Order: sequence, then C-alpha cells, then structure tokens
Amino acid sequence: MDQQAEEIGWIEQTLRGDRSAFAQLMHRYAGAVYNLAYRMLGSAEDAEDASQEIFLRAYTRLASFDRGRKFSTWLLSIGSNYCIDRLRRRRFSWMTLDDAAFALPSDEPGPERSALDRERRAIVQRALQKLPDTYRAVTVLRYYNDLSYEEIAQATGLPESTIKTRLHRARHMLAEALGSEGKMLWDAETTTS
Amino acid sequence: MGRRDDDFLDDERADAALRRVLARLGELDQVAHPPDLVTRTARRLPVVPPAAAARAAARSAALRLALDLATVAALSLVALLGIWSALAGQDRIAMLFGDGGGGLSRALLTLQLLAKPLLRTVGSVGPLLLAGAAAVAGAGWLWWLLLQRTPVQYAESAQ
Repeated sequence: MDQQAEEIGWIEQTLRGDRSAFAQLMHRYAGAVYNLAYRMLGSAEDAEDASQEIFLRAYTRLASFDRGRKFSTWLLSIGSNYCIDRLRRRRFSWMTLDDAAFALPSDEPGPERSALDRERRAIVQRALQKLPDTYRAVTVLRYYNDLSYEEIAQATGLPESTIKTRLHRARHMLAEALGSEGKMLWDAETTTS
Repeated sequence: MGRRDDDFLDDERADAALRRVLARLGELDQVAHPPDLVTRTARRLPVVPPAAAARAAARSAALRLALDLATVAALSLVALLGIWSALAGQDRIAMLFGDGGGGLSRALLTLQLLAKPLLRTVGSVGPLLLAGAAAVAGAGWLWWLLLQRTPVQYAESAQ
C-alpha cells in the first residue's frame, strides 16, 4: 500500500472516531511539523506548543481535507498559517530578535559537534529569524521541509510566481544576514556551481 | 527569460546554492522533536470524532460572537435611549409602555437611568475633548495596524 493510500485509510478511520489512527498520522509527521514550527518560531518550547496546536487544528478540520491533495502539504499549510499568526501576536510581547536568538535551545553539545558548528548554526538561525514572517514561511517550507514550488503554493494559497519572488528576496536577505562568514560560504557555492 | 541577481545567477542555481550552504552548515539536519510529543498531543485530542469537534468549535465561536454582539447591542441601546430621553426631555418613551412600575416600561426606565450619567459625562467634557479622544483612539488603532504589518526585521532595526 502506498503512503498516500495508507494515510487516506487513517483519515477515514479518524473521521469514524478512531483517534489511534490520527496518532499514526501524528507519528508520521511529528518531525516535519515540529521542525517547521522550530524554524518559524525559533524556540523549542514554542515549537512544541505550536506542534500540538497544529495537530489539534488538523484534527478538527479533518472533515474538510480534500482527498485529492497530499496530506503533508495540507498539514504544513495549517502549520505555516498558525506560526505566522503566532509570530504576529508575539510581536506585541516586545521581545527583540536578539532575545529570540538567545532563547534558542542549545544543540546538546556533544563531542562530535564543535563550538564553531554551533556558532554557525546560531548565525543561520538568527538570519532566519530576521526574515519577515511570510518570507520565512516559504523559506522554511522550501529548504527545511523540502517542498516544491507547487506544493508551497498549495500550502500558502499563493501563486507560484509570488512564491518564487519571495524566495528570491529571502535568499538575498539571508545572504546579507549571514554576514561575512555566511557570505564566504555563499560565494564559494555560487562560484563553484 | 528568468530574473537574474547581481551575480547573474538564475533562481535555480541560487536555490541549489543556498541549499548546499545550509547543508554544509548542518542546518538541514532535522531537529529532534520531544519523544512524548505525539502521546501528549493525543491526550489533548477531543473525545468526539473530528466532524463533531469542528461543529462544537463552530458552536462555541458562534456563541462568543453572539455574546459580543449582545454586549455591544445592550450598550448601544443604553446610549441611544439616553440620547432619546434627553432629546425628548422626559420619560415619555418608557411611559408609552406603562406607568414605569413594571414590565417593559420599567425596563426602559432603568435603561434611561443607566444612560443618564453617561450622557451627562459626554455633555460635561465637551465636544472638543471627545474629538481629541476619538483622534487618540484612531491614531492608536492605526499604530496597531501598522505595527502588525511591519516585517520583523524593520521593527528590529528601528529599536
């Protein structure tokens, strides 16, 4: 049985009241949803809370799910919309972006990960957090959730041309925000490709 | 013909380049979610099937909206009755429905009495002050609206 057929089966069972079938869907997409929320919101605590809310929303809206679409795209569209709403509300808590960056969880430093790696990751996270909400959403969906332009368009309800424009601008903003070190890496990649 | 950035790279090449940069930085590695995330979320799922949960959610949203509207309507009624009674001079409206001792007549009379302090306050502060308050409220609303639409990076650089 292919993945989509299996998911449709779980959805049908959930709609009939079998909550364990929805748990199967959650097990499959917990990582994707959590990572989307983590990259969008920038903190593990918020990501955990957001992931729960996203799944709860998906559960209550499951009857409206169009079986012709991919469940993952539908779920991530709920997730990105929820995260954007949450970021808009958060703006009034007056937390600066530096605070947000410091609020990022440590990466559980192990012997295999150098301090330099952690520093680089923090730089990227800060750069990502500096993007406007809607740009960050398409960037996360594209690079972290590995969605195609078409899937991002479905998830966000925007035309593909808008997605491409936002990604184009987001890349420039990221390159600038990454600073000298990130720019060196960027330049190395773009000149060798 | 596609757009090109300053380095004459097309979007596809830039897209692939950014993906490689992120991969080299280890950024594309998945962050591990809490191991009990699914269990805890499953405990929070409504006990009813999704369709029933959606109906319940819609009902509670409608109830909230109805309560908000009822509050606004009640306040508007008090204000309107107060203005009307002040313009009419007396308690004529309430007396149309009785002697003020009970029923609708008494209810209207009560509303009028509630509205009078409000009306007196408005009358005493004067129209200019009211216009000033309206302007402050309007400016506050506009500020809220603009702030909500300001991208995070601009909000940050302005601080």
